[in-house]
Amino acid sequence: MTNQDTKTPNNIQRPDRRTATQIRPLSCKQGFLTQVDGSAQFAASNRSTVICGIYGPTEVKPQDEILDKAFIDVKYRPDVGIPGTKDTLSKVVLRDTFKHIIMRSLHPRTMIQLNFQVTQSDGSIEALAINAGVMALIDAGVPLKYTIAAVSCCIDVDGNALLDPTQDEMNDAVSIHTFAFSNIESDNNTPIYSNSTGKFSLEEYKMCFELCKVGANKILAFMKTCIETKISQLNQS
Amino acid sequence: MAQVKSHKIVLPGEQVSDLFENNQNEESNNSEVICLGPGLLQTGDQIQAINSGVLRHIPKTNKYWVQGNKRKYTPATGEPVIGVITAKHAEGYRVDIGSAHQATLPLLAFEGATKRNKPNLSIGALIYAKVSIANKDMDPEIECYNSDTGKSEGFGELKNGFTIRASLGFCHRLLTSDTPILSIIGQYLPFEVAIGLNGHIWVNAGEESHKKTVMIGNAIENAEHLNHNECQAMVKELMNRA
Repeated sequence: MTNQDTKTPNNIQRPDRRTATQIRPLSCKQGFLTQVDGSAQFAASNRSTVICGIYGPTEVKPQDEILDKAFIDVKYRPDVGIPGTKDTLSKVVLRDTFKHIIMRSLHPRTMIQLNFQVTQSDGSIEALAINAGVMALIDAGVPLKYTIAAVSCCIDVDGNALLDPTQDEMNDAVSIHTFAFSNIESDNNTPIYSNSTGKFSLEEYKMCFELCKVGANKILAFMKTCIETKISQLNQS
Repeated sequence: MAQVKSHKIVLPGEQVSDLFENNQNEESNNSEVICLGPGLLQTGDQIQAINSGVLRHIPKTNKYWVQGNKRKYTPATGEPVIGVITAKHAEGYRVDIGSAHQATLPLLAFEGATKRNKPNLSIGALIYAKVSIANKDMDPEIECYNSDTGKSEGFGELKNGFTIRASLGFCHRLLTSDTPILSIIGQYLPFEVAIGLNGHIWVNAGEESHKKTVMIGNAIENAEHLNHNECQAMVKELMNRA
């Protein structure tokens, strides 16, 4: 595929009436689970939803104990059926991502457990799980190096890049890319997380990178608004 | 309490150093030493937030911290906590205070305790204590007396009564005088209360009145997100129903 073929025209009409660079309307709810130390639900247009519940920093099994760091335990459950190989991959990927953003050395010899439950699945679950995890960690008050936001992007058969794809768009895609960016401005060109599947050229990858960067900054702004609204509501009373 | 200025809401990773400089200009406070509290961390010459919440500042002492709300307790020296005794050893008790590690309560950390005259607490007993050692690499240690005066100062075993759970931020607020719920309940009923900063609140309205004890517990639990007038209405309704 040549360079001219990859483009992000804004006039593409997607099945849900979005343009190619538009993310679905987001919704986020924090602290609604009563038995955990922190929780969040992150949803895209109420069609894809992930719930995350955090326990911790809490007691750790002796075999998992790390002397100078917190042990990060991730449990991941899909919306249908029991966890399989694909879900184990998601689990490992999430664990390795959160290992880098949690300040683990501030809570040595403890465990921080993240429980993910997909409740609705219509594409971009990987990105939503990262976003739900971050919001839940913030709710639990776990110290974080930075706030991150993730977003997916896919290249369809015509070479168009589509941001925040639905499941149908992902099924027909040639390649799928997911990136996460932090809210630290100087790091804005280094993704915290990058995962690509399928066949793609360097130009396509770069285009998705730029597209996702813009999308992630929108999600970061949304997260900030969410937290500001929640805190100012509490302070009013 | 010193004047607390409320500022903007921060998220983990946000640089807050530039906010400090602005504040120092407007307060005309020349002191260059600033004191960082919970939720802030210095990395190199930058100061960044590691928790989300409201950035608070006391101009007089130049103290900054992030005021958030958590449910999991991390011990800090000097804080009062409510715990449950889980085990007894030769040198002390193990106490569950809701943190990641259980706390140690030495047998001699009570008022008037000597090697011959030790306190006798059974497993499951509820105690009100003060954190004496809080270090992230060590198990926390608590004590039931003021080690300077040797007096109990209200710490010790909590008999009878009932404990409820609340968020850590609410427990902090209850200990300041501007949270009205305790005095509003006090207008209707006499009761005892012990507030642990680990999110446990113990209430007791006398041995014969379990119903009142539970009612006071419910009233405090309900009051977390209510203002003064709403608290008054809520307590009045509860008392009328009883």
